[in-house]
Amino acid sequence: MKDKDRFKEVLHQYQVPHGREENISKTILAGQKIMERMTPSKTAFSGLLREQARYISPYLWLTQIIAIIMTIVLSINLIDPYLEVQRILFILTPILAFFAVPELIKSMIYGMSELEDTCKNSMSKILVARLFIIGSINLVALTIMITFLSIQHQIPFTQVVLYGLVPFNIVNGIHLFMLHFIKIRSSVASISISLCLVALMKMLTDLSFFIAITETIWIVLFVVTTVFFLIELYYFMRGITNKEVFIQWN
Amino acid sequence: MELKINKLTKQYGNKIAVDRFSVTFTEGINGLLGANGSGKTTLMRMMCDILRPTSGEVLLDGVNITTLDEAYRELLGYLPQNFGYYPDFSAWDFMLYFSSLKGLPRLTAENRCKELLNMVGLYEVRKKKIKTYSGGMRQRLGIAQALINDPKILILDEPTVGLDPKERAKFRNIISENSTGKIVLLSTHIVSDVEYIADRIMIMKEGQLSQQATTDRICDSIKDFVWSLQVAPNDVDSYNSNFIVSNLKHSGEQVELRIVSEERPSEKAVNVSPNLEDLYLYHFKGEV
Repeated sequence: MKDKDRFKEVLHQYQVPHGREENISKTILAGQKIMERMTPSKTAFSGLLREQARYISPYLWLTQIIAIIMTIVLSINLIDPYLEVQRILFILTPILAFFAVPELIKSMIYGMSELEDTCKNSMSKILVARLFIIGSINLVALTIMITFLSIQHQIPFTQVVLYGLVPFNIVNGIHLFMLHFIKIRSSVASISISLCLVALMKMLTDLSFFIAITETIWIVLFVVTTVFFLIELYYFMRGITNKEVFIQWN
Repeated sequence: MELKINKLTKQYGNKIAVDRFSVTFTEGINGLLGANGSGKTTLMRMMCDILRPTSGEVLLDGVNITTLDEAYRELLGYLPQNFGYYPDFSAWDFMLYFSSLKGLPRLTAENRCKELLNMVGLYEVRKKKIKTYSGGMRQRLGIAQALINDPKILILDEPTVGLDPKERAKFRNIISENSTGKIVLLSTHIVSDVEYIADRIMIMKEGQLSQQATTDRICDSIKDFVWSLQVAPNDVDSYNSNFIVSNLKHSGEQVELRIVSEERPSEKAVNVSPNLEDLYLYHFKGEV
């Protein structure tokens, strides 16, 4: 309070001459012009990530937790660790990726893409942010599962990485591949695809050739499935910039 | 501020949805009237840069909007004809979500969302899920969303669909109050939506700009084509099949018809002042 009074005293010591009306008007107009000028202000990607992370479905988080818990539960008392770890990862990775693609394309599923694409932070930015978040969540969960299995059963980490990433690439690659042919407009359709992929991966583990996969073939599978997944991801991202696709999807 | 549409065209295969559409918008409310399939939505999507034109361009103060990119979208507010929502969203979640996409800081966003939801009469029900809302409530939410960033360019595609007359009147007031210093483009079939608030009206037909003028002059083109006529009830069907009857009213033993026709429908017909509805029917008689 004392300081405030002191400042008032100091300020009142000086007489400020009143400006000419025309100068005042000119200043206001000039200020208005500057304010109206379009100076692009980019949103920091980190800010966008933070905002989008807030809106990631809790079901996605839940499936990560379920996959991790099931990894722990199913990996107790394994008779043939190498084979059974492969089976566990083949069955659980689709659960991990269950909501990955549906969450990525939810704008299209729920008819929000037309609105989102007209916002300052456009559809392509939003999708990149979501891809980053969902990919990170999946990969962290997968790393936890792989690390646990590797330590628990003393299998080389790099080997278990192959067992985990092959089904991960297949599941996500197939899901993205299907978007070429079906413009999914319902969450039921999207979840059905995820369920089918879970069943498919389980079926693969029951086939006789599954036991016969050698380490070399695992490496080849890893390379092939990674290329497949990256190609599908590339076409998906390219589709983002194709505005016709969104409008037709909506 | 000037938004210029320069020979904008959109072609899908052999079908031309928008055909060399050219117009310049300055601040004010512009009404875009057209029948279903006339190209209004396609035009608006191109103006919002969510659809690439086959040819032509949209310029804001001389700069192509695709070049402006984020800077253009910062100025834009858009309400599409149909829009969805995430199933677990309440109105409050919806508004905050779009506030974040439009780059508003959190505290500013909360204040702004409160203000807009109050304006459209949804603040009391903001925590309820959107899936429980009526069509009219959802439309009001869409209008609120379009205004979040206080846009300088507001594009509304059939914004009054699903609104009752009271809500439509409220909507007109909201737009009028929020249109100062803005370019507002509003497309509709409902002529009363634009008749009272638009500064300028454009008629769009088969992808082309058919006519444009200020609201008080737009009907000048048909000032000699609107007739009032009293007929016997038995003759009504005949007039209906030969002319555009914009209104029919029973008046005692006679029926009073309001007819839009370049030719005098009858010697007893009296020329009357046209209104916007007559103009709409005149232009879209093939679709009526």
